[in-house]
Amino acid sequence: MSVFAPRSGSESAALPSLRERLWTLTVVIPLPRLARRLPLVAAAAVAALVVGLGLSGTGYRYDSFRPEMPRSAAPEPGDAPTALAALDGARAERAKLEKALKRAAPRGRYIVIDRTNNRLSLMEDGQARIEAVCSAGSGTTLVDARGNRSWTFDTPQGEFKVISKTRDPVWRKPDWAFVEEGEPLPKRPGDRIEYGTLGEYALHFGNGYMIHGTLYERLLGRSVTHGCIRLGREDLQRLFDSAPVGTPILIY
Amino acid sequence: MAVLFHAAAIRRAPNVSLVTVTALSVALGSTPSPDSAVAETLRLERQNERLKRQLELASSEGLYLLLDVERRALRLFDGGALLRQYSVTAIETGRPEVFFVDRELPADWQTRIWSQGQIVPRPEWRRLVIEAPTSPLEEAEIEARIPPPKEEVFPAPPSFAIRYDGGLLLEIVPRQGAAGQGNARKRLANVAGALGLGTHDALRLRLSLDAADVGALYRSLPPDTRFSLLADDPAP
Repeated sequence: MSVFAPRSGSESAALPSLRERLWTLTVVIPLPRLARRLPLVAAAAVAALVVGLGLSGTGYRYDSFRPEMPRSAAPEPGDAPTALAALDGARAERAKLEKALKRAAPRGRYIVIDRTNNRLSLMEDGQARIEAVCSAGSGTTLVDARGNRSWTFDTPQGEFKVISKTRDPVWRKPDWAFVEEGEPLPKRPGDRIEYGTLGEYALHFGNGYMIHGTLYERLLGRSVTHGCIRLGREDLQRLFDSAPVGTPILIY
Repeated sequence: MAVLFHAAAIRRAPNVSLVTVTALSVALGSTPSPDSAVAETLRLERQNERLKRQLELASSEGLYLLLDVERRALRLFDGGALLRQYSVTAIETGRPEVFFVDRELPADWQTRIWSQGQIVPRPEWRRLVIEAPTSPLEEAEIEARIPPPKEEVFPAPPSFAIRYDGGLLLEIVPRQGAAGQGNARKRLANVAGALGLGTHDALRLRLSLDAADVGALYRSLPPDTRFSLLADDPAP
């Protein structure tokens, strides 16, 4: 039966006021329904509270780092000669390990090149003697549709060494240098020779790759080369003077 | 003559006794007691363990990261050669906790060599492909071809992580961004991770570096790096 059904007697024709309707709609109808569902609602609220609280305590808790070395059981002190012999043994082992670790490190100076961040360092005894901004390979691929050829200009990664050093190096331009500028390949070898492009010094490290100077110092710090490493004039001179032939070069 | 000798001996007596006392104390001091010898042996053994780990890494192929907790330095090595060193301003350990209960960390996590580190997000190198021009370029055209900076060629996120085999997540964050749990999505991922849903990190190690160093390290790291840490010798 509808709650708005006409009442009996003289009031049967009178309609309920707006206030009565609102009272009926907001209180009379929902309350009994809510009361019937109260246990369910309460359970859901409690569950939400528990889950919420639990999740706030679930995740990763960050604390300052504390060393937690696994500890070997402390041996009994025993007699003095035994304890001293163990101490001597540990000291001898440490000396041996330190020596082996020193042997594993490069001897003397070595060049480190970070080819993605365009940084060059000359290292010695764990310290950077020279730190310089350089330019490494662009990683660009040049496609020559006419000749059906392509070149990717990457600086090679790995371990190399300074094979030779030259003052006033001369650049013998490879094919890509002409293709890149839309020029025809020269017929005479002499037409490939270019002076001054590589700066005043070059340190060769194999397969035509070298550390050399540049005419475009404003581009240092950007990956712009065809695989070689470019350095600014002063840094190049310092490196040339400090890194003898045979110096290891580590490129990563 | 004998009188003279005797007088000289008397004058030197304080010096002789001083030398004798000094020699005796040095001799006694150089011989540690069994207790102190055991303590010293234990300390040396722990140092030797660190050295062995360093030697194992230095004798192997490939790049690895070594965190020197004492000197607050993260070092990138290739074999025995130091490539680069980054200053670390804060080191934090992230423990998984479920309903406020900490999960146990791997017992040897500070003395282990963590391997097969995968960088998250994966680095991307935006390579350009250039078609060769069909006619000679003008000098001005060649000059105008300025390549994009490294930030565009090798974009780096503000922070990144390296996930190692065995459950270590090494987080590299900028100095200013170390605190907090991040946005809601990250928070949800943390909850899921701690509960063992999806990718679960048995532990996290968060290192705060200068923002520029975060980017530089991200760009230069190859895949599959290894990691180990050299912690202080803890007080017994």
